[in-house]
Amino acid sequence: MKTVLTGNYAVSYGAKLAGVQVIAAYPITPQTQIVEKLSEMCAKGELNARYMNVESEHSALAACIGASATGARAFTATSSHGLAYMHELLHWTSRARLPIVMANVNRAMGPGWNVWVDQNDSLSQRDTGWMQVYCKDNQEVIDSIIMAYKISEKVLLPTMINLDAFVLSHTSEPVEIPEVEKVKEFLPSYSPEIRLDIDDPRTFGTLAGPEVYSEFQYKIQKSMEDAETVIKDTCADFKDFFGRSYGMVEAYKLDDADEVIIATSTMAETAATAADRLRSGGVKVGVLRIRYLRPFPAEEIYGLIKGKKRVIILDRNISFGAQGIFCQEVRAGVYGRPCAPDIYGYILGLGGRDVTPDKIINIYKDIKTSSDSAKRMYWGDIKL
Amino acid sequence: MEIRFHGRGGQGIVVGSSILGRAYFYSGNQVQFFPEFGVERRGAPLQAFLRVSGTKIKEHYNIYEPDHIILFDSALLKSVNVTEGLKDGGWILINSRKAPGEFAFVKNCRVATIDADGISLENKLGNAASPIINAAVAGAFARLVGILPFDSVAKAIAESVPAKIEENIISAKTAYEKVMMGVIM
Amino acid sequence: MIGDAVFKGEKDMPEMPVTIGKMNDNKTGGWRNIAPVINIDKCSGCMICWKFCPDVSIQIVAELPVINYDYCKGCGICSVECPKNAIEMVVEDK
Repeated sequence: MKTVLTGNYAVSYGAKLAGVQVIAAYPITPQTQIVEKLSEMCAKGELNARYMNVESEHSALAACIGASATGARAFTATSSHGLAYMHELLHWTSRARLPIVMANVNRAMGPGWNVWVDQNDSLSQRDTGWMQVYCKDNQEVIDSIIMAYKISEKVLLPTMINLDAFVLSHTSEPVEIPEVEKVKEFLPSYSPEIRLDIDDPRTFGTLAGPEVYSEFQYKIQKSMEDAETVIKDTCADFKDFFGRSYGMVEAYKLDDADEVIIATSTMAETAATAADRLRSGGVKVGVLRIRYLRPFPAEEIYGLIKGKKRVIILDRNISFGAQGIFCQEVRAGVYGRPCAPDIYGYILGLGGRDVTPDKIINIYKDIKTSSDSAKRMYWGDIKL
Repeated sequence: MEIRFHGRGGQGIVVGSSILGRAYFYSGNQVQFFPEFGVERRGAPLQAFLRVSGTKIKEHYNIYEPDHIILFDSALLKSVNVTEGLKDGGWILINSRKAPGEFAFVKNCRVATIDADGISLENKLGNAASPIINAAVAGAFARLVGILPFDSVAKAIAESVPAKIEENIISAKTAYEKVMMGVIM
Repeated sequence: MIGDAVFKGEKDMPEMPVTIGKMNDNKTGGWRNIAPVINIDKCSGCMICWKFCPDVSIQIVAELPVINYDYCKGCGICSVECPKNAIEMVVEDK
């Protein structure tokens, strides 16, 4: 059924369709509507799940961990400081190999207190062992939640679906809600081999000394690497079922492009609009949208940008003392490879500062005149 | 087509943008609508935005050069530059008892007025201190651009308003019929 | 890993750090240096020792405490907490 939904409600409907059995969450702007809607669905009996009110985000994820360990499909949603508060348990989730899915509304970290879009919340959790997806529109949000359970339950690692604060969370767009029967067929019920079971008691998260710890880390890394194939297969499956196509990256007019703009989330669509305008001026610019931060599709990105003249990377985040985080990832991924292009890193749109095509076009002009790719980063829209 | 709504917190411009947005969606368009991002403050000047297009909307930023403006509260003309960025020849629809000719703008725009307060109160929507006018304003706008069938507006109202659906539809229908359109200034 | 399992490599390990068997397989009684001995004549059956034992190694049988030496680590908390001084810690002949 095609209807009009905000990004937040797209998350709620996605979780409902995925048949989540336990939801534990704590409200925070701009995520609140996600959990309000889910609690309403549970109260009305539309969703047969246990909705747990908890006293913090730390407890929310702890409750999901317990539920997931029993083999239940668990879901939570948060944003910004709420995600930061989950930090310890983010590590726990992945190292316990629990396929929990969460939605994170990308919002700036304070102070200055700021509820607007910025990716530093989820990127600060880069190394916690969660798969991370960045969505460009509300259709992708609902579809990604459904796909995430299938992927996570295969590779036994959790997934975080990220959507831009307000720009998606509070913006209404047409969304095709998949049919429930078809989703059931696409996403079979979850039945882990090892689960918390009172009839077969075991100790979970037990001591693992130096004689076995490294092997557990090896297994997580291997699963992350294998996840690339699982993600691609699941996306192909999804296309067969629902007709919509996704991947780890999305290429826009890259084939004949001399120059490439790399961006994530909604900013990538704005970059595509900018690329169209630049193309009408006679220059061949394409856009590469990175959809997955973890596992990081470095090979695929290298394959798409090798031999190009220049690459501009737009980051709505910053690793202080270094550079934009996606820029750093791409640079690490192509370092030392033949025909790697010159890379220019730009930081813009922090804390909800609006990013328009004009801004991106100005950055493009900037690299032609004054920028040096040896410099690790530039500011794209700062008042100096 | 891009439309910017001006009102004050609590006047219902967010629901107003939802009614019009859904109405355009039901009549076969791609739409995108969103409130001014941030914290809600009752009484403070507030904006909402609506994009309508035949193809997928890729614009994920604010509207700076709207085709049309909808003004829920004419008092805002004193404090807010409501026509900022308005494209040449665009409509500005004002909730007011006055005739379009009684408003003057420097911009090259078309003015329409509708007594949405009066129509809403006749249909017992809200009270004199705070009439609920979003359906009436949406109904009036549907007539201006001329590509929006009223059936779509009625369907959108049923989905967007929490109560008194029938009264809201009547209110919108009345406004659709009574809207006063001025000439190009 | 608890129990007798010894892993040759990652392939024969479970995905997550989880025990193969129950905690019952882990007989911690071997960690003990001194052992609690209950003087049943002094015992009032108040169950304070049962409540305090951090290893759940005291069971109640016919309303009186019985120490399970398979698991008792010899911490001595029961002996300190007993209001009747009915539990004495003694050096064991091993």
